[in-house]
Amino acid sequence: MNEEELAFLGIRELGTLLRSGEISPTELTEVCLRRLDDVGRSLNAVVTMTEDVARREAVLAGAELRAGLDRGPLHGIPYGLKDIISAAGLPTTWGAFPDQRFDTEATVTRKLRDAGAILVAKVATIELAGGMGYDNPNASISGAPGNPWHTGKWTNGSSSGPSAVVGAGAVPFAIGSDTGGSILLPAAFTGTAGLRATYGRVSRAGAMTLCWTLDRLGPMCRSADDCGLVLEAIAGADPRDPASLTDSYSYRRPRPRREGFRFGVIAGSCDGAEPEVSANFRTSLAALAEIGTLEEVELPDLPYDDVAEVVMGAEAYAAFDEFIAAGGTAGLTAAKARGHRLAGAVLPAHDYIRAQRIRRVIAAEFGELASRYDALLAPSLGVVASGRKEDFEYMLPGAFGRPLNFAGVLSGTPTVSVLNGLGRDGLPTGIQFAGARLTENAILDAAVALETRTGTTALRPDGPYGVAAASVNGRPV
Amino acid sequence: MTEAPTAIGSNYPRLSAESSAAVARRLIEIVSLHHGETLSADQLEAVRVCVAAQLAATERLHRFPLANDQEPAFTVTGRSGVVA
Repeated sequence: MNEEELAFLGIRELGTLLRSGEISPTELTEVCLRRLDDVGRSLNAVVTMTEDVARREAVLAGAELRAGLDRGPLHGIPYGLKDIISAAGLPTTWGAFPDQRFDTEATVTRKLRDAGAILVAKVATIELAGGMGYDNPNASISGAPGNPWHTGKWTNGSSSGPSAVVGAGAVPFAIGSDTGGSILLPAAFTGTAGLRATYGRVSRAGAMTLCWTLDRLGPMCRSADDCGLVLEAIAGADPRDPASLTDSYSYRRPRPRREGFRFGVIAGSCDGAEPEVSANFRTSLAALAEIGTLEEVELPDLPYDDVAEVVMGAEAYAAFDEFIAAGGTAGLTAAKARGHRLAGAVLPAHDYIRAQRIRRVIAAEFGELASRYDALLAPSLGVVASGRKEDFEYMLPGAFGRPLNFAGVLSGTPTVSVLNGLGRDGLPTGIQFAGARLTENAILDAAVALETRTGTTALRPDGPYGVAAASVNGRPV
Repeated sequence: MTEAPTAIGSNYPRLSAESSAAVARRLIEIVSLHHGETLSADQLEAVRVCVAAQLAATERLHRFPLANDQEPAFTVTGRSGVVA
């Protein structure tokens, strides 16, 4: 097996090789470090290589596995960490502050170390996770992130680095964060699998706060199955995060479900979408019809966008009020971020609370709908990746206008996006599976079933490092 | 005599377009005052766009009927002796 093939294997396959001794954690780590240094940096996806930590953890993982101490499926598996999540002693720039470091470590980082995973890089984020507003991909100290499928396109944000390094086969998985779609949307643009688990499933302690009532951390991987394995390692109650859930979570079961699903297809979810996005969605529905029932459903007619805008406007301002009041936004990269969020200073408290009251209605009505199905389905985005050097309109109207995303964001319910084909210019398209709270296994099982039937996890970018240097599917870049 | 609030329909006062524009101008002025009138023209334009969007969003939310006892999506409890 050559390095290129190794780089695109899933976590279970890598685990088999690690336990059989065909490769060692150190060898796998060196592959990832080389690819991060090469393709990762070329995509502006890497903030800090953590070679010393990685090599030390790899030696330890190798010794433990040889001695028969098995910490589970992530033991010996390298990963990247979005640079809003702290790792003790390493820079945690939030995409904006190059010298920032924290003494304490994020709970998710500690949990991954306990699971035997190997931290190989802090990876790029849109500055302050995009929370001050941005309308250009170049809104980070890392520069504009490049898409592994087409280096002239961008990854979407704000989990730009996690999606890029996973999509390029530079790490098997990464940890991203999501407030209004920051896992889901980059997953769609880069053909990766992104899981936004139930709000509170994963502790946010040690991660930058953007919006207390919306922020979630979650896995970005090459398949839905890998997302489940990573979620199992990072889920759990944490006294450092008062929003964390006490419900236990286990992904690995003797017989995961692969058929007998009930799907709700969101009516009008392809309206305004690019033809290839619609076509791939229909193809996915045809495959899903072989393993379950499909029923068209109406999303409750509720003001998702307005509630999200007001909640984010108020909480993002509050989370950064000292920074904003001190004029800090003037130093941010994105021109829009310099003034956009200042408007939060004049957003009345009663309007924020009204938005949160309506949000409870949304959560109740959407939760009731979602509970009737194993998954609600819609395209993850209505478009494929846009240009790396092009400004886009905030929240990609026409593309972002998939209300299922905001319904899940506001309801705190789980959603996974997986690759479901290629669209214009050979770029990935995605499908989202949204479930009721705490039903991660149902949506993951359904997504795995789709991936298995359609073989989409075998799709990968062209080029010597999985990156299109000169062409994509034969077309010049 | 004042009428009791009802959740049948929203009674939130609707501003005229002129009043709404005047409110927006004042809000932008308040933001400027917060920042010692040091904001650049580009920053002020970004504030103007965002204030307009906020006002439009809140106006739509004002049309959403809510009863007096409908709670927000966060809860304050006395569990563990702390607000959590």
